[in-house]
Amino acid sequence: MSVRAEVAQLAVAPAPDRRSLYEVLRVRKNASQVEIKTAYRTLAKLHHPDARARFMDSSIAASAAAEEDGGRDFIEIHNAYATLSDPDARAQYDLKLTVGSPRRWDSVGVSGYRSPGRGRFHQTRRWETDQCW
Amino acid sequence: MAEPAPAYTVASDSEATLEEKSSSHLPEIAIGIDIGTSQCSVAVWNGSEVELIRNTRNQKLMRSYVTFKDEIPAGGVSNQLAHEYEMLSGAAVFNIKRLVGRVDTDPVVHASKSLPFLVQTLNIGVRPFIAALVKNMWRSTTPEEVLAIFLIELRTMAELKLKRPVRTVVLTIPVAFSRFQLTRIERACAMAGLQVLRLMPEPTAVALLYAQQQQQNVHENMGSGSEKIAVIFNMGAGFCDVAVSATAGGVSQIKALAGTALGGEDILLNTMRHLLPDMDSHFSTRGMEEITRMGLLRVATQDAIHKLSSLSNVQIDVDLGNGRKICKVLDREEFEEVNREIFEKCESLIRQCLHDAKVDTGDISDVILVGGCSNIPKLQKIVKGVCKKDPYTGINPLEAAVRGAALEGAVASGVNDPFGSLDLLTIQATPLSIGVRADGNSFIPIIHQNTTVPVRRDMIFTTVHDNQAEAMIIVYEGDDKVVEKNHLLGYFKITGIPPAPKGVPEINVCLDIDAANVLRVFAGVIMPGAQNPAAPVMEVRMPTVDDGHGWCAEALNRSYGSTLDLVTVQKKGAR
Repeated sequence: MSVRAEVAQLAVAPAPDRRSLYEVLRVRKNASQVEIKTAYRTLAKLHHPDARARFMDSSIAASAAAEEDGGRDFIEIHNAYATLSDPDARAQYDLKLTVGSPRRWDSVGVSGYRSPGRGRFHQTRRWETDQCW
Repeated sequence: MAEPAPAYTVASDSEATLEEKSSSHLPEIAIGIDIGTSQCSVAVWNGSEVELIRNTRNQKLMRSYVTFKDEIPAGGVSNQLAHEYEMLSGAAVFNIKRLVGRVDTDPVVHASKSLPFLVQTLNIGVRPFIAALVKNMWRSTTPEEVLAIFLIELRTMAELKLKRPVRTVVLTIPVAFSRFQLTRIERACAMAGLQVLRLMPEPTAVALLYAQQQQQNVHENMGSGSEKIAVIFNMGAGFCDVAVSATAGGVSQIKALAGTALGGEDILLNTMRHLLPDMDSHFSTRGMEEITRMGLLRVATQDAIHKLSSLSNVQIDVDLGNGRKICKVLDREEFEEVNREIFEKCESLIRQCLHDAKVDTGDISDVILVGGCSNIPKLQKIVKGVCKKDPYTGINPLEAAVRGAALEGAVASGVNDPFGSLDLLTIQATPLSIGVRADGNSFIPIIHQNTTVPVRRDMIFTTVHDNQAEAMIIVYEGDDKVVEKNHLLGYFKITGIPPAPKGVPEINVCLDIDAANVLRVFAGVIMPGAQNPAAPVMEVRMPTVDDGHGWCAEALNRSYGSTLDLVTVQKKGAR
């Protein structure tokens, strides 16, 4: 299996909270491709760090900003979309869901670490160390 | 950090308080700047639409050059050229976008050696020596300095028009720029007192503008609202970029990007060489006389190329002095033959991008042709031939990138529009793969080309020697299997690996790109069965290397050889 497939599989690995990819995208298990695409775009507009800037003053912001996750939600949404929008990957995933997949490589690795200072997106570029010399 | 030179410090106490006052109510709207190889422009969201800012001479598009003829350098924003030839006198430095962040072994730098200002190369992998002719002396400068002078002028112009301080910008960049080149652009911005909110690949800015237009059509019940696949081909003086985007509901998702440092300047140089085959030897001495003659040839050739967009042939007359004269009729077929390789490369770039995006020509909704070269008939023919569609006409090819940047500036600044005109989003993708050196001298990509960002991906590696206590993480960007052919971004050492047979420790390398395109590399060691890493995890922001990448890689190899190597771990089920 190629390196690309390896990485793709890691991405498909169940999220820590064990939600299914369908739950992440908030669609039914028999959702059509159009429904999946629409759900992805709608959620992207709410959870992409760029889009979130707009809700900073509203109540959505309060919950979104509180997570301070630097786009983790969006990555999860995108990974779900990447699998469910590809018919082959979706079929494979559906099979795994029914069979019940054993836990893949446990992410005690660095992927589980939360980096400090990754607050709201516009703070991720720091003036001094990012832009100067 | 060294104290900045007075010329670059513009922020005063009074301005700072003004900014604080305004930001407590509204976010500062980032302006969009497009610094092209040849022309530049500034645009901003004015509350209801994107508006291009004009300079005092009422120009929206200004020439990108800085002239050093007086004590204080002046750029094309404020300066008025008496004549085109003044720019070619050696005193003006231009085409700087082609030189920024490149070393003197780079073919693009070598191609710039026929420009009227001095570009000296030593072919040892350091930055080239660049100088302008001031009172018969070569005065040295750097691409960053030239860009900063230019950015200060653009910023002053914008502040004058907007009557507010301007601090944050969205800048458009070529797809082909490496992350190292992006740091040079950021440095120039910092010198000019500007904070970069986003560096946006030019065709993705165009894609955002297109997404907004499609969204408006839906609101006016002219469009269907279904997903549209757009191919954007952008060719300016210095670079050629292609993007494929999928657009619906104001969301522009970049499916693939491709780019190369090939542009109108290469077409011009090819044509000049065709008219005067011994051009390089002719101008090698670079005295005042030669510079003037080179300028004459340049202007005449440029003029001819422009005319060939509408005429089928053009008469060229240039007096090169010493009895040398060029008197020639150049027809369109000949011009296209002279530049055949460039046009072929453009075609293959579009095909590659469509392939990477997994898009068939039948799926394409619109083909958008932008940039200074977009009116070259041959390019229009190529794009039409590949995409099987007439170019989209709803976008001004010279203003598209800066307008898109201004939209992104408003969106990323968190501006809301009551009419939903800013209900937009760009989902970017990485133009190049990023990975590490492992398995001997191989490049192992961790984040692949055209991956949606923000993204976080990791891979497990292991040691190659028994009781190996340290391992080197060397990060590269690019798509070549041979590691040296990619751009070195940085390196660091993981230490404190507990003694164990080779292949036992798990070294987890995680790459993270956030929405602002900042790349972080995390690395840690976990022993089998352990819950926690054996040593503190490293977090390194990349790129960390400065000039002379090639040297760094060679020195690392020489000093450490394979003692600190890594190999990829083949997990169960793989292979």
